[in-house]
Amino acid sequence: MIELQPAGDPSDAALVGAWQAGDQRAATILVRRHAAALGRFLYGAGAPPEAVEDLVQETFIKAFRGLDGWRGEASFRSWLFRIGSNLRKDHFRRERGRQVVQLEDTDLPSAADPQGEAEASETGCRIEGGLATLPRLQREVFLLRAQQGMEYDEIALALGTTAGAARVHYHHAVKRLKELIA
Amino acid sequence: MSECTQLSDRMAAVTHGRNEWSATEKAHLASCADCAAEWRVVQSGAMIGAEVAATLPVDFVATRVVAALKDPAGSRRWWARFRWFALPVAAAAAVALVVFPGGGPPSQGGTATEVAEVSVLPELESLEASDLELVLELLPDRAGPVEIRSFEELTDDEVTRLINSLEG
Repeated sequence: MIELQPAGDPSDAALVGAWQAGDQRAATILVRRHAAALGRFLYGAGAPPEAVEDLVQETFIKAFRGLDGWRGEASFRSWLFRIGSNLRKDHFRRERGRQVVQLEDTDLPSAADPQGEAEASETGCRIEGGLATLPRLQREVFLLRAQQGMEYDEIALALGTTAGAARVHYHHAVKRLKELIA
Repeated sequence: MSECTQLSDRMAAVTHGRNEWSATEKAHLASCADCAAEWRVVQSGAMIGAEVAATLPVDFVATRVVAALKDPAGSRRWWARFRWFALPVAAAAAVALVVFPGGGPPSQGGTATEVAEVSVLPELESLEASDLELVLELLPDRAGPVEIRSFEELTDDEVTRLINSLEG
């Protein structure tokens, strides 16, 4: 019997099993389920917006081709993020010298915004800019925690570190980012 | 554990809807500047990349992923990524043909080999090991970098086929 999530959808593990058994629709569902979150993470981690789509695609291809290496101790999602993080690192090495995070015009506060919205947008810009200055692990731990809502043990599995180290990286990142908006 | 630490630990969960602030916690957030600043940081962090995600063509990506998985030799996109590699190799082959049109070995100290190495190896050095393996897999049997050292041994037909295969 296929394992269901609370909402009644098949779990990631069930879909992985179905894909390994030859069901291509399972791969499509997994991509649809995780692509947006993965894209947001890759962008926040420093991938240029124009590279996000290709990196997401490469991450899924590498993940599906390497499913034999997924032992199931980490969730499929955190395993995907680990692969994506490594691919982004490779991409950064190839594109070394480019700006890590590029802010788009649409990220800038609009003069027509109400004051509160403008302040929030300005804070967002500062946080994005500040992220680019953080060491990679601090940046990625912060994203997995604040952007993706992961717990420290899941972050540890995704980034190949320990939960304790992830907690330390997160607090260093938050401290640096708080200084930027003070 | 201080109240600030407790709030800090719960901020991600509250941001993502798994928890809610109690009245006491809300009062603390309103009175503690440090926690309020951290709360703003976490909420802003949760929004990063939202526009990128909204414009990501998820169905198109899914289609391409499935198509690539059906083709274990690699998708066209992979080949497109390494098309630049074809140019220096083809150029090296062309130079070798011009310098040694008769197909014989170089008369002085392997000039053709040096031409090929100068044209190709710097490109290879910039590749990750996994990328290099992929390039080698994509190249025809006789077109690997090792074979570049003996271009002069190729016939005109073989060189033409090599260039055609590299140029797609």
